[in-house]
Amino acid sequence: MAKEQGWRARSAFKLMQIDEEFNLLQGVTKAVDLCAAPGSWSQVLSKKLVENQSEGDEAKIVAVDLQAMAPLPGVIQLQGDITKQSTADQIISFFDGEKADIVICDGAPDVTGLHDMDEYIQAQLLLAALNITTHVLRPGGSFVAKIFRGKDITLLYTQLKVFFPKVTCSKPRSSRNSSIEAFIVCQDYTPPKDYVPNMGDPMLDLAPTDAQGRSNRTIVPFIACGDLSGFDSDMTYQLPDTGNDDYIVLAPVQMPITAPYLSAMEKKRKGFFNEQMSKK
Amino acid sequence: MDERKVRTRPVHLTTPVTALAYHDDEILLSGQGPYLKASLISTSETLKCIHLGGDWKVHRIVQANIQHISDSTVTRLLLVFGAKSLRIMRLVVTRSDGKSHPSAYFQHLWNVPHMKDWILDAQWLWPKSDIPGESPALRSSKGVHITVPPTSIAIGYAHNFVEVFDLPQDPFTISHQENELLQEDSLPNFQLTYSVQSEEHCTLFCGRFHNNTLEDLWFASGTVFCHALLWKVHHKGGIEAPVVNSLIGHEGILFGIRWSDDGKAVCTVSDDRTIRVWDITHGTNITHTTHFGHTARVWDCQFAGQYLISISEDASCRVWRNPLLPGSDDTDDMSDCLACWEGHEGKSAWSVAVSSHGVVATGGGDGGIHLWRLDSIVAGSSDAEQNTRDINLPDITTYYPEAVANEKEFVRDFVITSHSQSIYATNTGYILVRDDNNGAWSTLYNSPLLKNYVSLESSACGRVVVAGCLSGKLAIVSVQNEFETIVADTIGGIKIQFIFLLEGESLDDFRIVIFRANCTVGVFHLNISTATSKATCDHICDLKLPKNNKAIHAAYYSPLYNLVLLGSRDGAVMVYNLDQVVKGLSEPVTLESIVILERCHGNDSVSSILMITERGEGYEGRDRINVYTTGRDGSWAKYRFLGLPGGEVIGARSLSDDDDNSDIESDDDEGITNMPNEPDNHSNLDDREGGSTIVLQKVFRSKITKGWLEKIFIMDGELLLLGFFNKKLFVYNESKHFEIRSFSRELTAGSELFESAKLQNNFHGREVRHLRFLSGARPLTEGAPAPIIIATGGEDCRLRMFQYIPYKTKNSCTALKPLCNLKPHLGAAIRCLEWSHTEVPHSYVLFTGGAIESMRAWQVTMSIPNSYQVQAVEDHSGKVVQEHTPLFLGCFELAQCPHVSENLETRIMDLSVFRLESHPRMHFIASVYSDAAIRVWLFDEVTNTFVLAIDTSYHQKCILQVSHVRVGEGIMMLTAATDGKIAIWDLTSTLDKFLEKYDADENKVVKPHSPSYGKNKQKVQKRYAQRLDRPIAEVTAHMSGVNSLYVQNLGQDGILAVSGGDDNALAAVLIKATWNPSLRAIEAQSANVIARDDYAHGSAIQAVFMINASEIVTTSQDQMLSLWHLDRVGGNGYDAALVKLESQFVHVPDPSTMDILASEDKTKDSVIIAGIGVQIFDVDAKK
Repeated sequence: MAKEQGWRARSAFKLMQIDEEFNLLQGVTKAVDLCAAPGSWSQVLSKKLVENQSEGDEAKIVAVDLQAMAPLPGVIQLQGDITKQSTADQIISFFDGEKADIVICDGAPDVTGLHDMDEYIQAQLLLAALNITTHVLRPGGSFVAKIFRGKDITLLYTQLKVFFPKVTCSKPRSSRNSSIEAFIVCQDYTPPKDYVPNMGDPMLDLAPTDAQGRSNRTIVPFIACGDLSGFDSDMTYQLPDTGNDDYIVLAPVQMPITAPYLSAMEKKRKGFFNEQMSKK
Repeated sequence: MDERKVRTRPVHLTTPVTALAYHDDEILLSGQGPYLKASLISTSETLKCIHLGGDWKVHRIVQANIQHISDSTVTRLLLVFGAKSLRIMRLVVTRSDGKSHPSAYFQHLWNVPHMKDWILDAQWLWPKSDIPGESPALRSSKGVHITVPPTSIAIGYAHNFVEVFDLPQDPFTISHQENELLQEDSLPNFQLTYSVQSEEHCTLFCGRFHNNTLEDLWFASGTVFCHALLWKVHHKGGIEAPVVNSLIGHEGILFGIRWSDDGKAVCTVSDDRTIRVWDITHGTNITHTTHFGHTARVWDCQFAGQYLISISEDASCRVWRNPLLPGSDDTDDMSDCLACWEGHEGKSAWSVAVSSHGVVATGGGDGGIHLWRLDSIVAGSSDAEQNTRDINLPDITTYYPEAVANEKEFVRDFVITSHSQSIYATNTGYILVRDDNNGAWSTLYNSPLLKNYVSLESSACGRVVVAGCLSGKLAIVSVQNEFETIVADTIGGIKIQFIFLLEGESLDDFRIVIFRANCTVGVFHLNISTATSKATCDHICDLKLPKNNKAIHAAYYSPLYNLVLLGSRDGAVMVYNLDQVVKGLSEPVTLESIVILERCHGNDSVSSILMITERGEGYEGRDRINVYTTGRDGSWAKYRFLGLPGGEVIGARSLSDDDDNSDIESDDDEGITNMPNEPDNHSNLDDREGGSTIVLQKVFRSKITKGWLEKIFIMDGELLLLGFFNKKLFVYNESKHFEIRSFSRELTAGSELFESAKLQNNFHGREVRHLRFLSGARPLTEGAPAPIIIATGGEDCRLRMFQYIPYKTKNSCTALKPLCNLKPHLGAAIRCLEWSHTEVPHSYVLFTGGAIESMRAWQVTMSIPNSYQVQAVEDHSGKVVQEHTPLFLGCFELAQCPHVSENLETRIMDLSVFRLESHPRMHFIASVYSDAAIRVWLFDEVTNTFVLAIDTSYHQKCILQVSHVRVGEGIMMLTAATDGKIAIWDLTSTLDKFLEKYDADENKVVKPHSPSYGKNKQKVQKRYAQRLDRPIAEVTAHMSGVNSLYVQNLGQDGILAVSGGDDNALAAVLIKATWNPSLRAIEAQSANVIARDDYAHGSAIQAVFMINASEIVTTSQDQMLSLWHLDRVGGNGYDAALVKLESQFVHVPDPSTMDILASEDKTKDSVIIAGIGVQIFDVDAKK
């Protein structure tokens, strides 16, 4: 479906549905896309922001990712690590002293399957994104990031509440019901008084995680967004009947550029693993 | 939290085993969730199991030195940590007379619940003056003799910094009560003496210390940017420590890093599936080797003497040759994997430890612990060629005086008759015996009959050898000269290709089955009377093979029932009844088979057949007669004979099975089609004049190897399988589900015959999506409590059943006894399952549904040995109660529901099952589909078929939940979908219409005792199907998906439905409805949300239940279990209010399903929650 409409990933719909609900992109011309690959959110930004731009207020999108990304028109690309000061400095430099209206982050680190470890790493990524946001976001601006509603999510809410008075957990209908993925929509950026952004000090999460701590946790409002009568990502649809049984399975619009196990795959193709099996 | 006593408490947990460490060669420490355990590896017994408190799980156990308290008692210091929490503990081990059964317990010394950051490693530190020599390798705890206590600890964190704290007190002398859980935070007592950040700021997945003094301490960090960094913790000047070495080469995130004991090498593992070993002895000139083999991410790899031992996401543990040892240079990278141990189910082996005696323990994501022997590699690694001995015939002139010079002599066939004796038939017609101890040869027999062609076979006892000739004659020879050789004639003079020499009624009695070159089979009765030194051999009959049959590869004779079973090269099993032979005829008759089962092993050869009679173990005290076959397709199969004298009969409920761990897998990996090639799984023929029918019913088939299975046998009551894979012979214990040993050469009966063993039973290896208690189970024997049975299913496509045995093992996490483990279908994850009762005692029907629109009916029967005596046992509070009796459970597939939708991806999302009083042998299964279909199926016990009763589509969304409730004589059904809506239906009149049509039909398809999958895919029986009109009411309860729904009829007060949503909310819906008996309809007056908590949980609610009329239990992906009270006095715009009474942390990640079972005395409910693992809680009843 996403592929049919030329988006790089289904997640493009997610941002569009969040925007429908919260009007986040209204009037926005400066945006930062953290963890941008494969680039579908930048695609949406690029489409919307061009509509918003006016003379003297040109659209500017900076897309950052660890991985290289295929070029997108009108998007400044930056390959870098968002936990580093140098990356923050580079992003700021692209805005010429201006600040961004919105920071979005659709990033998700690799999961191992050890849930507590995965949640920790995910929280660190979000905190790194938040940290960089405090450098580049204008007061009153918004921050949207992917979250996984696991056991420690309420601690993250607490932390986000320090910077944003309005925090909502939103789940687009294009996101599967069975998925624990959701998006945190933080509006009206209001840094605490005397807050000085500092990349050198990672924001280690603060609250204790014992059972007592859990009873005093922050739960933010939940909003399901997107059209109720629209596409249900959990539903099994019959494939469109074209009458001649030749429904074409579309190739990904943008293939991943690198994967860590390429060498292992290469060996597998050459029959290495079979060879090894027979040696045992 | 107020002072009120908490009503929920955890009583059992199985989750991934994430930490392992050997205290010594006997005692293994393990971390599973928040539990720390000490187990005795010789007996698998749990010596001690304690809950460490908090919501973290044990990630690592770091041991310090032992202190001897007395001759019999030692203590050892432990640093136990996980997430941001740290415990400092003492393990106390007592062996009363040094060698006998040890006891163990833990003492808590200090508790730090919240360190600054995620802990990756911790290390004990001593003052430099206390450590003799250089670089002590304390981590291995071998041969280090430090007697003084450590004085400080170092903590390495995920943000690549290290802190060092002084211990407030000597950890050996601090006094503390046994097992007392410390609540207060000890951190204020610890003095931070040193703190350092690496110059490289990054987030790490792994880190390891090396050395035990602050001055010599190193930290190795594995980064997400593919590098390993080695840095010295102690340095002068600045707060940031420089990186001394960067190890660059990996192509993915580093997940594990370890030092060698001497600190000269580092081993790293990565997302890139490789293990790399770095030689760091030469400063900046660092070299490394790369090892491929794991098929998924590698989690850890450690040095163990001459080996490297790695664990991976592919659930295997591999052993590699340590490339840094001398002599390893000449081997290339391709061949350095010495062993691949696959024992854990599903995904990931998470922890590994090696004892000094070379026993490797691995902890799985499935919650099991396996033990493996390193010395098995030494035995197994030798090449087949290397160990093969050539045997040359002696010089021909030594036994064949008339031999012509240069006469060509060679072996025609040979048999092995004992450990030290083998027998050879030569081309010149000689049968020679070789003493394999001294290599001496002697002549056993010779005859011109045997010239140029012989087919040789020996009896299992080794006393008799039969030689089949070109002329169709049989020479029967005594190996120990017990009788004179006899020669028996067979019909037609056809060449004998194969001989089977089978045991008969006594030791002196045999049946010989021969397969002739013209594809005919003959049966002989051989009797060797040692008293008269005479043997007799009579041709009893010939056996007729089915048309186009290939050669016979296996044969079995049952003296008890006088049956011959044959297995053919093309996978067929035939049964012949020798009682049908009419005595006194001059010519032997040719018998027809009474049973033919085709394609028992696909088109591959049946390699062995075994028949076992279990006296009085069958239904109603009859004999249970099992038949087993193995095949060259790598599988073994089990069948049951019905209709034999004294055995189970057809028609009775006789199909239970008692195997603990049996897998059913379909033939191929495609797996999408429903075993379309599977033949009818039983075959029968009217037999004997009485007209009784003998049936050989297939129970299951299990594929255990990609190679061949050659033999099945029972040894010490355990089923053992023998097979070949990749030129290696292996022995597999099916009862215990592991490979005992594999050999590339000879079988030696060593004292240590195990290669691997299970120390702790496992659970599912992947996410469990649904589970159900069997409620209303009846006790199996008088005085015993009703058994607690749980059926589980999930992403691993397995259907498993467990018996929960409370109090059995108070201290351990092993109260779940595995009963069966079935893998009915590759690729069909199980999403939902429901029990139903039958009128037969201890016999139940289970329905499972899930991916690729699969739905199955299973018959589940249970039994206990007749001699069982009920035992008394103490419960958690010390009260004496009747013990739960461990039972046997059989699970057998009755039928598969046919597909209706065209899209193969359609999933069955939920089931709700009920029976009607008017139709006790009919089960109605309300099922909802991911394509918005709602179907009610009838499962008819009489015909064993699924019939479509109601077919409707509603919601236009993926439907997530279905439930039902009885209202008067009617059935109310509730369905709920991803749009948050709950639809309420009246099924009554529609079901009436269906039953009227169905009951009236005299031409129903009746296929008794046959599962519905046959050669032809079963068609949907749609002719009775009805449509539903509109729902009688509808209500929107949630913003998005309704993940859970529970409904109960409160009588006067109405019908109460509670639901938990993806939107974190808990809602209560009150339905006012009445039963109109004259119209036979449910009339709905109203349906409204009467209470709602939008902030019930921090994440999606996954399950909701009511334990009484007003109390609700919920669980969610936030890993909390909450108990609620529905207060009918309203507020906030609602008629009622949901009041949270208490919450408990759930130690199961990704909790997906929950069920509740009230105890027999109604004092408490058992709440079971499963996801990645399973946890059971007791909830005390409301006072």
